[in-house]
Amino acid sequence: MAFGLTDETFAVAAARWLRNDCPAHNHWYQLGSMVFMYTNWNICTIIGLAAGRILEGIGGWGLDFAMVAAFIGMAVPYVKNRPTCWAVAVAGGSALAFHGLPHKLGLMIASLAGIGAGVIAEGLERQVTGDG
Amino acid sequence: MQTFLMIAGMALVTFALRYLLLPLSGRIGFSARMQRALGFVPPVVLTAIVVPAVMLPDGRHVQLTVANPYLAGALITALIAKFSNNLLVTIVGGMAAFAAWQYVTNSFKC
Repeated sequence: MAFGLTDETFAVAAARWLRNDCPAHNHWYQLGSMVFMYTNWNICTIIGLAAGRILEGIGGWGLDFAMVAAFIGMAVPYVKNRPTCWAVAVAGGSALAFHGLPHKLGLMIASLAGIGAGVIAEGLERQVTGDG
Repeated sequence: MQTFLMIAGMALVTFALRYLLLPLSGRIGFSARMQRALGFVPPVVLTAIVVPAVMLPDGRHVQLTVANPYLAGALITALIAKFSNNLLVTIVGGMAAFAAWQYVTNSFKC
């Protein structure tokens, strides 16, 4: 089950876990999600391989935007309060600034910076509401 | 053969990391502060992946122009995501916006 844990399955399963008070069946839900997504993933990979051979210039269609769209769709519901806005802003800015680093170090730095910014922003907010 | 070994290696690493860490996760108690910090991880990491992909579509040059379909598509997708509770609608709408933007900007070239 650990192997099958992709971003999308996590999003689906986590929503179910949070919502549900009957935990006995939750892991079956996750397993189901995983099996379907993994199968679909492989089927789509095969289709992609075939389409890539047959259709010319499909690389220029920008289909990789689907990943961006999916990630944005998953991330936006998390951004509900001010500290998260800061975290996301700092993460985006750092990712841009450090994108040139090898081995995707920029991504790691941006993630840590974003989390740090969020924690700091939250701490500041608590101070303000604590006094006021 | 080398490709196969690479894939097998990646599968092994993925599995090993998760198989070894998951049992630990039940026993490690996180402090409240740590839990709050971890709560930031999903939006932060997703953003860190998306922003360079959108701003540097070809990997090298920052394209902060109106003509960048990735940028326009991303902004429209974020808007749709904010007002729609449905992930599928968001993705489809975002892709449609991206495709439309790409079509329009390509029509104006040369």
